[in-house]
Amino acid sequence: MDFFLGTYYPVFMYLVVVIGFAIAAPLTAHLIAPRKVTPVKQMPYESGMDPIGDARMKFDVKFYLIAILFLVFDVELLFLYPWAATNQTTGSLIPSAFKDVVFWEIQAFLLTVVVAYIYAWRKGVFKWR
Amino acid sequence: MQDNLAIALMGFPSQLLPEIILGLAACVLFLGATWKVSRHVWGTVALAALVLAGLAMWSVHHSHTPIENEPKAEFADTIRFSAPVLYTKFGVLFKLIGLITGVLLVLLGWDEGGEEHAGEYHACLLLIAAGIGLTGAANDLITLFLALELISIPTYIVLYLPRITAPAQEAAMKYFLLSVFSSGLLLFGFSYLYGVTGTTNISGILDSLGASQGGIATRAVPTWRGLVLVSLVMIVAGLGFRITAVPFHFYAPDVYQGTTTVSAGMLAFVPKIVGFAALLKLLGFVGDSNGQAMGSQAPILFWIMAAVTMTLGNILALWQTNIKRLLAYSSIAHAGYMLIGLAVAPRMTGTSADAVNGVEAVVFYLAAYGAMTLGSFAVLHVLSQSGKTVENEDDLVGLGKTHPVMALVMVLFLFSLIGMPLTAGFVGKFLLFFDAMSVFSSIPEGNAEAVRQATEQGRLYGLLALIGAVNAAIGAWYYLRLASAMYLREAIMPLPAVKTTPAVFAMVVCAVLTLVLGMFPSTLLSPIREAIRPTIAGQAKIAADGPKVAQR
Amino acid sequence: MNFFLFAAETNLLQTDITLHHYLLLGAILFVCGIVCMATKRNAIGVLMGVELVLNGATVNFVSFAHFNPTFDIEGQIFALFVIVMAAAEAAIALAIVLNFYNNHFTVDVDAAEELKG
Repeated sequence: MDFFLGTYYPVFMYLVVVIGFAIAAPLTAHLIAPRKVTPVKQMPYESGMDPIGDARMKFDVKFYLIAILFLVFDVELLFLYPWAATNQTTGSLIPSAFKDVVFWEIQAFLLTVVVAYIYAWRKGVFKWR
Repeated sequence: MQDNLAIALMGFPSQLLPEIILGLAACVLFLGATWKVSRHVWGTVALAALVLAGLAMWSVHHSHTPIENEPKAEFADTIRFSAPVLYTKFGVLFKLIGLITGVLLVLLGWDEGGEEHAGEYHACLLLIAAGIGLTGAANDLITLFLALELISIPTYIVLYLPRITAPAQEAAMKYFLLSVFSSGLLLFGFSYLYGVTGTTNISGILDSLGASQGGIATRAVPTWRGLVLVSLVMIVAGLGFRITAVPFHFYAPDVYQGTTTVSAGMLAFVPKIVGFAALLKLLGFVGDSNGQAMGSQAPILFWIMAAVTMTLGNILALWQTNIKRLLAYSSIAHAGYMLIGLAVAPRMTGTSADAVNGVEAVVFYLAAYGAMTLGSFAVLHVLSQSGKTVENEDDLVGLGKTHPVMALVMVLFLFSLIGMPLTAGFVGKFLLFFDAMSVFSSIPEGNAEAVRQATEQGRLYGLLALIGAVNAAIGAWYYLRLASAMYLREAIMPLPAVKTTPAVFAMVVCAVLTLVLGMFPSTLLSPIREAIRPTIAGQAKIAADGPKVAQR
Repeated sequence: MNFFLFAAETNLLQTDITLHHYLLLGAILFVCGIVCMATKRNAIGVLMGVELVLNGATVNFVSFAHFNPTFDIEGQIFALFVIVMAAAEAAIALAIVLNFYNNHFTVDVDAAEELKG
């Protein structure tokens, strides 16, 4: 763990330049550019459309359902990565005696995921009403 | 060594057969509920699953030896220090309690909520029952944590599903946020415990903290004692939410009042029993250790918590008119009584084998409390089923005349909660207070300094027993107020007649359990004693270390 | 002129990142989480506080396991379980909050005051 911050000094120099430019460019524009205020210019930009109504519109509930479902299924895969990484490698963390047991445990885990999937499907979560 | 480990690890699926059955049944219920909507079908399936799990437990009991009875010491140690789940007598006891609780909850929840959610509701109850058993069997911080979550997560759903009114949802949300927070605290405590001892195996942790007297004390005693204290505080705080100990009790009255009667009954019992089970395991009260794993300050902490919890719970209960709020404060007070046992337990290690140890008293009290509190919530639920919801004390007025049987059963549970003789509550309170008094009266041996210290401590425990007795008297006041409302006042608007539902059956079971535990306490006490007591080898070592413990 | 060379000579920046730094990070996350829980009025905000507490514990677990050569990988395994559990709880929280919103038209927890503690 030999960590020497000094080796990174080009990166820091680069950061200083980037941040400096990011501040300087709008600042100069703000200071020296001429400005004329017209109603059209004051309007929020919405790809050429006239903006109508409130920007804070309600999202449909079905997006939340998809979000919840994604959250659960996405994170559950976390258990598969360590197993997949160690199962086939030689001299792995899993002693060979346990490989079968671990394999069936993973299958059991996948079964619960399948149960959850069928449940969601039967409850009509995937229907885009 | 490796072979022993392999044998130990291969043994899991068969040991956990009851939990696996409950989990599979829950999957069946979740899926089946999307095809068929019927509360009777799914209630019956849930009951069948619980019975099947009971049969599986019986067969496992005959094919497996509990680790305490394992003849080969080396094999037993290998398993104890490596297996995430242990087959112990303590675990068997909790599996049994979990299954009985599951049956009672399924019966009580038979008519809860909408018919369209019956399948999911019962599936969650099955998972909770499995979680109780798993908590008793856990021998690793990871499995313990997962078991606690296996109870918490279905609990949120059970709180949320049956009633869609605003107070019920608010109660569910409040409970959810606080419960997740308590899990966070617990986990933070676990992380320090892991960092200090270098293992997540609970037996290994206790061994390395120097509390274990059986075992193979191969690990170095950790040098960061300070972090152990921090983690003790965090763990007690995290589990304190579950057992509703002051100052972590504040959510209970609101949540019990807002949610349905059945859910309130479940919240009064299930988190409490798993919270205490986890505390007993983590602090090393079970088996070959003396409960001082996390430092000698733990009994003082429990002393203060016990005194404050029971006093505050009882005094605040005096002002309640809503029955569910009253029972919530009573639940807090009972948590205080149980904490007496934890405060006393480490001081009792040197005493004779006949005396009931504080931990045994706690486990007995938990079972007794489960029967009487689930019973009293069951009475309220049965009365509410025929139309009018029973919420306030005034709803019970005149019950003695209009519903003589229901009133009698309710009085039985109230008397048990007070601690009247011949009920389970009496035996529980008697054991706890007697333990505190016996520390007070036992005269230690040793030099003058040790005797002086021990006498001082004895006085403290005598004071605790006194506080407990005063509290029992305060408690009697509000329980008797309910009883007098039922018998001494005339009903203006009598409740409608009671329908015979599965909940009635659950109520009867609770009443029988309360009476049986009250009249024949040894039926439960002797299994508890076997489960808690250290092995013969451990006992000899504890006896040798006895005076040393008293000096600390 | 050259600050970095100066710093290197005086050992100002040449510090190893040790276990203590990570424990400090875990403790800071924990405290932030508690403060967040206590001050936020939004149910989602409170949940974020809880997640901070959980992540503080996770940082502790992983760093303990990483920095002690004698420790096994239990710390990392525990971290995996914590992450999955946190996701499960977040999913339930989203579901509850969604329903709560439909009933109260707000996620402000203080608006839920039908039950006075």
